[in-house]
Amino acid sequence: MADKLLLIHEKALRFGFDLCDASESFRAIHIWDDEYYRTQKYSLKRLVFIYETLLELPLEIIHGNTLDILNEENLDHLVIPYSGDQALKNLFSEIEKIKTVHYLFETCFANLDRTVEFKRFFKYWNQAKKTAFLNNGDRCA
Amino acid sequence: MSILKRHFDNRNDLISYVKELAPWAEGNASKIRGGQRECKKRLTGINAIKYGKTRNYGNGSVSMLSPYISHGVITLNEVRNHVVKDINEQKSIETFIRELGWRDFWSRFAENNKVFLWNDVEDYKTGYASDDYQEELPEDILVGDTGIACIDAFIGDLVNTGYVHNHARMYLASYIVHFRRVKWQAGARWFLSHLLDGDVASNNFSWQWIASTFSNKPYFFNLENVDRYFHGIVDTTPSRNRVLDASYPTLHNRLFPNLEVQNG
Repeated sequence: MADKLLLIHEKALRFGFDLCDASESFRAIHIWDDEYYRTQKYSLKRLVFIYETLLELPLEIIHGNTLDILNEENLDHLVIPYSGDQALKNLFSEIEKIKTVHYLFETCFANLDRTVEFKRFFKYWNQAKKTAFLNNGDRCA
Repeated sequence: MSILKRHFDNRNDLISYVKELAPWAEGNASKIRGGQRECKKRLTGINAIKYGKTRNYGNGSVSMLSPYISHGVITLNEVRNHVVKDINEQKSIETFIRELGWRDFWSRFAENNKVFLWNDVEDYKTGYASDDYQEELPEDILVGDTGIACIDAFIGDLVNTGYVHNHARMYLASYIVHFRRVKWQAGARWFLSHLLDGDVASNNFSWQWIASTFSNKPYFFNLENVDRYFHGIVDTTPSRNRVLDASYPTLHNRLFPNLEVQNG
């Protein structure tokens, strides 16, 4: 019996997250949420692309409303790959109201202080290029 | 709640199934396929050095990985790691890595400035105010019948495949905002609905860069430039692209009459 549920969303259609250790028991799902996809106004091209990618992943594709489905799940740990996408962040906020969520963060591209804001690309790049050419961006957090 | 199907006899069956799931979704499926296998093919096909020399050309050595990056099939980190592992000379792959950096830059900016995802970061630097731009895309653009051969071809790519070469995206966005004076938001929404790699931060801030609301000046182009990079790929015959067939100073003065006149 899996004790962790991994929610794969449309901005993280992959496995191989650091936390998906073989010793841990995971059940992975994607929720095909009509309302979410309709709100995104995705064309058929994009929906087929997403579904086609899901078919290569070892997960269940569940049709329904995200919050309703998660509400029905009797689980201790819900794990979600983090995404900065605003629509997903809004959804994450709703999920957090009903479940405890543990986020998986991907290795960043360059070792930069997240609190420093760059308003022009050349300013960003002058800092980012110090680690952007290194494997794993110099293991940035 | 129900469990959806995972096995299909062929791609057409899969497409019909998704169509039934989402009858509201417009258009047809793209010939570009999703999945890890397709992504790996493109990853192994990357030539980052050649990319740096040819990326602006319609037939240049581009990776076409963006739909897979956008949907998290692969991360920026994984693409970078793949490219840097066999290269000793940083300079030769700088263009490729810098392009990955643009995506990271937009994403970072969006995290701290979500209000600007759909609002102007700065004023237009075109001599016009935001209110001078139309709210909606004209019908001829939506259906790819502008009468400008190269623009209609790029629109065809967008609508039929969900993928447009980056340089062609710049032409299209510039045409919509500066030649037709439509708000960048209308074009950004349209792109997002079609592009397989549609990502709100990258897409919208790139539109703002073209529009000049997130850059120092508007980006515009002429037919000579399209012909240089897309000759033989789209129709660049002057008689079929009249609106674009002018020098840069002429176009500048025509598109931005409220700015200082350029001579040449």
